[in-house]
Amino acid sequence: MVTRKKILNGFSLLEACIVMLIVAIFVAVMANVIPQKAKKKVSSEAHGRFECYYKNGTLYQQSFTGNLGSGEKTAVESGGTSTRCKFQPPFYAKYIIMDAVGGGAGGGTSVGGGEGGFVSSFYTSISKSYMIEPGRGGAVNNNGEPTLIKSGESTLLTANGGKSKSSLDNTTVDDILSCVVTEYATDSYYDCKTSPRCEIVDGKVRVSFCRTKDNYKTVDLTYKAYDSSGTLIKNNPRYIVNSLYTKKKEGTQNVWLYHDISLFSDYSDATNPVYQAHWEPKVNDIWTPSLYTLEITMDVDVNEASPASESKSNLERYIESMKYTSPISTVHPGQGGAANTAGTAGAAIILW
Amino acid sequence: MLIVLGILAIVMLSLPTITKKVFRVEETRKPHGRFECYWEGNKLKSYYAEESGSNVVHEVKDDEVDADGNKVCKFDPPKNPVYFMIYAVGAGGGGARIDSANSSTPAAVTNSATSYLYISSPSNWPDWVRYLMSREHKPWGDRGSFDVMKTSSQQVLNYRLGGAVGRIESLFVPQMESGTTLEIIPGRGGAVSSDILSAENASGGAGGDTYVKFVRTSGSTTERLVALLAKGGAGGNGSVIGKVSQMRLGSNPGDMGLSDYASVKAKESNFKEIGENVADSPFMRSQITYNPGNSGRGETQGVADTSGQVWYEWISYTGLGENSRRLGSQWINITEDYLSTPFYGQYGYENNCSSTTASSVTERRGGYCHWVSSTGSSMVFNCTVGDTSDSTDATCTGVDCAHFVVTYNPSLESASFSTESPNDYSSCTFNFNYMQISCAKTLSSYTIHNCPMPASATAKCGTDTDDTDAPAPVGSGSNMKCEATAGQDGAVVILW
Repeated sequence: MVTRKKILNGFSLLEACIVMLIVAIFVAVMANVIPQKAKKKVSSEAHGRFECYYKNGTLYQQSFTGNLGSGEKTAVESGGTSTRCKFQPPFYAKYIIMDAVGGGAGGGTSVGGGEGGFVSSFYTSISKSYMIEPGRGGAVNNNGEPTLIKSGESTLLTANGGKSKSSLDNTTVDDILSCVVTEYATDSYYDCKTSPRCEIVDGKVRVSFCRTKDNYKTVDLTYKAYDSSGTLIKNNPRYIVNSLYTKKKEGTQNVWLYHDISLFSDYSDATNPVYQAHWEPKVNDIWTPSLYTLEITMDVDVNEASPASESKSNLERYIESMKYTSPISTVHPGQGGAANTAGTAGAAIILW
Repeated sequence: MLIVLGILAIVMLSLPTITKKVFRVEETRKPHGRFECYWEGNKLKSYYAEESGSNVVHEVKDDEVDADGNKVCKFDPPKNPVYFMIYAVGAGGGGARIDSANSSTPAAVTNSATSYLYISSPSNWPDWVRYLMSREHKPWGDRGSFDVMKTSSQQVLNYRLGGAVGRIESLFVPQMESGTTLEIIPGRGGAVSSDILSAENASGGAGGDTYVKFVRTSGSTTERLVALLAKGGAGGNGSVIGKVSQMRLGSNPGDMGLSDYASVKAKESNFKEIGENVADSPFMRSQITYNPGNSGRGETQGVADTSGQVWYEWISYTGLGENSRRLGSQWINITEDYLSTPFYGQYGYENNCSSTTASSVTERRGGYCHWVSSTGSSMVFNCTVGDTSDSTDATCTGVDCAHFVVTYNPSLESASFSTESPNDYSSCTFNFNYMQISCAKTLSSYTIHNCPMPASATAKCGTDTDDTDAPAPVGSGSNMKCEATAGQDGAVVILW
């Protein structure tokens, strides 16, 4: 039986000390645990991917977590536009990988177009959304458009469009592999005893040649020019890219011949006379004479083995090798068109 | 109570020690690694390394082949890395050779050219005039214009295009399906053609494509899918006929500046730089000793042991036309020391020139003509060739002066000369459009600068002085050349 006296006696000092010691140990342990409890637990860290692609002319997008897809929706339905997909990175994604391919080029009369350029790049994850703008495929004889991935106004990634093997229209000086003067005037009126040469210098095509027997002239040729409306000027032979004096070399896929017109364009009775006795055109059916001919070898994708077939892009290869079965696997993104066929549009896959 | 407080104090003092010792977080992660697949001569090799220090080089055996019988590197990815980065480069294209019709270096030709130049238009000056004017050797002073005649030994040299570099492709892979292995085939560098019967045949070989395939085996079925393809570079196009004609200097070899032509040079893919920069662990240093994807150079002709057959004559005038007056003339011998680098990119050569005298050198000299009369269908001109007075002055009496009566028939475009060899001149021609005469003269004593190869020199076909791997020219004399080179093989580097 417990008496009141027994209750009032309480714990002994020793008992109190033991309790305090145990409590202290708990406090010591919990001091390290309590702050960690406040951290929010991540709901999931699964891998996933986002796809953005054109199908039958309409831009679609779809997300996957693991193998579970969100369902194919048009970019417009998903907050984007008819030309841009909108991608919001998952909160838990530690990093994201962007794989993009530009639009494939269209084929020429007898050759296939080049596939879109492929870019695979690694980024840390951010909470800001990305806009993906796949490039359109090129029509016959035209280059594909680039695919862009943007964050706000900044372009994070550009995958170039494929290059047409049949046209210089969309090329730049940077696409020139080599430039050689292969033909030049050697008669006494024009031979200044110094050899002509062509070099690519500071983004320009620089040609040095005998303008007269007394004048070794160096000029920087304009590769191509646009009029005020943004249309490529193709009827002016002062520019290398023109439809009058620049022709593809017969039997080649990527060599063009440019015929000089300096006798015509620089004509001056006083300082740059033209000697009529030697007014001999070097281009069939064109009357203006040339002092030299450039052979310009362009860096275009020449498929020597089967030049008329389509060319697959590395994004399409990646999709196949990963055995994705989503709709993007059916659209052949970035494929260069076969002869007389348009290229396919570019696309992008984002992985995390 | 004091005892309780004392215990609490001990607990509080010991807290940091307890938490540090008991709750330290382990800082461990999976090691980074590197895998390479590359060629070493005709041996295909792979290299597997982890930053922990383990690494192994494996030579691919003949029985390690893919479904088509090609030797392949096999990569078994480590388990659960966060990501893989795959870098691949196609092989470089080979350089073009010079076709057999042009394979012999053309013989040099001695000729003269007169330039009329304005002091106000230095951009129109030939390089060698610009050079002299910049060295305070200004024979023309401050006159507004001047005439200069250069007589030189002109050398035509052929060259052909170098190849294009292989393409670099990269692929980041976040996860690889369990059981997936990789088969890798780096492309072979484009070869140099052994057939030079035609310009087309002499083209360099295209660089091979580099493949990275994902391989999955399920039961008895093995599936191979190309995940990444890096295209090889195109070979140099042998049908693009490049040639230059330049003055020969007393130098060795007369590479005529060809080696710095962008169209000829071997080009760099910079793939090796990528592979080195992304993994800098001392245990994962690249084993690739070549420059994957670099292209080969095109063939260029050269001339060794050229004699110093180059000189120029400067002549100054106070005016033009009928009032012009010759002030004087002087022969100045041109050597490398005069012209320095504008024409020639030299590698490892030293000036080693000496002078000798040649007993018989032929050059052409010009002069002007006056119309005198017309006879029937022909016209008669008085012409003067010489260098001691105005060329149109009939009173010219210098040792090199020569007067001609030229009868010219415009309809037949034929000219006859009163004499063919006054004062050693011969083989004259008449230009009706310019009313000029040109004749050849054989000089009995002429200074020749000979610059033989210095014994210690190391000739190179490279493009700059740092290019220590550049090959040496082959051949000798007038048939020296820098041979075309093959493109470099492709390669693949995988990092995780």
